[in-house]
Amino acid sequence: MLGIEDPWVAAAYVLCVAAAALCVLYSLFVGRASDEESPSSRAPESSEAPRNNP
Amino acid sequence: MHALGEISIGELAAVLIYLFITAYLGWLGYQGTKNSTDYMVAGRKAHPTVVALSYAATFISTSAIVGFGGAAGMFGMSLLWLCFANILIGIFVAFVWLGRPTRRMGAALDAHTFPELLGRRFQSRFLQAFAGLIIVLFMPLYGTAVLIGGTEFFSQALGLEYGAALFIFAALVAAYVFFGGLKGVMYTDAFQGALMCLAMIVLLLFTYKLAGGVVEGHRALGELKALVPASLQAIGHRGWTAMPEFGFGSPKYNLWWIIVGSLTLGVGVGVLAQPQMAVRFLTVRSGRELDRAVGLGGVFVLLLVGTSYVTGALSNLYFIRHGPVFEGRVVKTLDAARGQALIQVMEKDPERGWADMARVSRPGAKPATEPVFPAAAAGKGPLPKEKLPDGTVREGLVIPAALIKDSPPTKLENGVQVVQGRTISLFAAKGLSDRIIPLYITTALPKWFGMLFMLSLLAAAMSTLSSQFHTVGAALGRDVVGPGRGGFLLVRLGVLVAFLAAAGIGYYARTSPMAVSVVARATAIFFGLCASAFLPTFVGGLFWRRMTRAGAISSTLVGFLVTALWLLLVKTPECRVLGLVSDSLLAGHPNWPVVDPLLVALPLSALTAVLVSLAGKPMDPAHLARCFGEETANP
Repeated sequence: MLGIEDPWVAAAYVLCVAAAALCVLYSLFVGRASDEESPSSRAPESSEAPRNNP
Repeated sequence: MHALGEISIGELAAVLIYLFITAYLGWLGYQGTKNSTDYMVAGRKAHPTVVALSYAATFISTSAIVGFGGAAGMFGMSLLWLCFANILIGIFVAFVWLGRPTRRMGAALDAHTFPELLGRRFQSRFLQAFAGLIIVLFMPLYGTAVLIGGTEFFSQALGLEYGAALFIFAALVAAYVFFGGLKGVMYTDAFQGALMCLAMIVLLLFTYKLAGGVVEGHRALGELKALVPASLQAIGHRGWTAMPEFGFGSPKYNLWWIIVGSLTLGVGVGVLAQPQMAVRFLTVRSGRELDRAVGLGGVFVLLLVGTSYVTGALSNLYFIRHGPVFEGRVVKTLDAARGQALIQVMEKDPERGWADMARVSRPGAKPATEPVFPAAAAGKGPLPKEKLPDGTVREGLVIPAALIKDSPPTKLENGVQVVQGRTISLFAAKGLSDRIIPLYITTALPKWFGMLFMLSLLAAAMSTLSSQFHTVGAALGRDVVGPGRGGFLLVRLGVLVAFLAAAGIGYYARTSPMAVSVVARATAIFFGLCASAFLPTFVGGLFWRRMTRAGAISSTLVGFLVTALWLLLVKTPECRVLGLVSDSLLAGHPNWPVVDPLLVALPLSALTAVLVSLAGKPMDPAHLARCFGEETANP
């Protein structure tokens, strides 16, 4: 496949492209579909008040 | 190290324009930095494009392109498994599976750094400080490795002496990190990432064009397998388009364990727990930005890493067809039909006649090649390996070569037939894999591309280095010294310390061969330590409510200690470089010395996390509810 004699290396070549395609498709479909999260789950705008170790 | 030729006025102007844009973006970061959330996590409002480019540009340093590209030149396209792991694990799993919960928990706990996230999740100041300390102690070494790589190009581009170039280059990066914080880092990363992308697209197109196309290039590369050097065949190399031999218990399986065990799993999985990477998830407003960043991140890593590996491997084809011509006598025929043979390299001196070339190693000096007069007579093999009375070791320079068919052999009086041939990348680059990519760029590609490539390498170094400075500064100022004691001024002071440490080690490393070796392994050491120490605590903290503070601390300590011991005593070449033992304690037990510490330490630290957590009392439900961003039952 693709001129590569060893199927394991050819698989790695194809899987690299497939993994990148998966990333793009995920962004296109899930990224577009996912609505804004609820405001409560959003990050605070600014903070310097440490809430460490209550 | 990477000679890219003399630089012209135009090229100098390009470097200066690049530096000006970088400085401008750093200034934009400074303008947008009003408080410590801006400084530490880019105000938690970063754009998905910036996040994707910044994440990948931080991940991919100069060494990933030049070092790993060169490794692909030596080992072949089996390295594409690492590229696959980089995309699937380093981008898809990281963003889709870890990114959202990290962002949510980071926001819920108001965490500004990776150690702070762990510390707050497990209500442990110790955990935060310990994680911070690992970063502060070990990351400057990793930073130095990147800094030295970048300085080589910078000193050449501006014609500066090494020490001055090192200081100016580090100071330049430190300046935009110091003033611009993570916003400055991410804006410049995005620009640098885009530049790297552009260079890699051009490189990939040129490489396949030179190789005669995708399928034809791969097929022709496969036909070179007889030319794999004997030393690489002995560890399982079976050609540049084939996987190494798989098994356990013999040195002939070492290459499989290096490529799959160390690189693909060690680096591929290890990236998940890198503090400088994980902090990117704290910079976005919502999970949606992460979802949108995944696509660009995947394509970006494919372009950068995939191009380096494919180019490295296919460079063999270029050098075999168009590389430097060597002369010598055939000492062994490798593939008669394809005209491939091992040749003892010879050179003709105008006065003394023909000589056999020898590789010479003198005590305390760098290995060199020298002529040995007169050349051996016909029928003799290569110049034999011998130790001279002064301790010098000398052996014949024998290289695999494709003989030039159109060039008739020169017949000498002693019966020797001198043939001409071209060799593979590793020998064209004089045995140094780090030289393969720069040599390929300078000889195979147009000069203007050399400049674009040099800028992209400068960008790769700067984008990785800036994140390292920022992470060390944040770890020192916020995690080790403690929060609320001077806000981000303390972090800025930490950035200065990171800069001074990296520049100091970088300058010192130049004068000490031991330091050079340690720095060269620093990336692997830092990746290994972080992955084993932090991954179970990080993943457990995000997904397993039953995990306790004791479980987290013990897992982190076990991961750290097992990795450190494995690197100090077992893993080669790290154990030799660190110098506690002269050779791996398991040297007689292949393939243990090439097994990545991650494969040993990660299962142990994960098991520790599970067992200790189950043996202890669960954490306070109210705290857990806050960690996971849920409304608490009691107001």
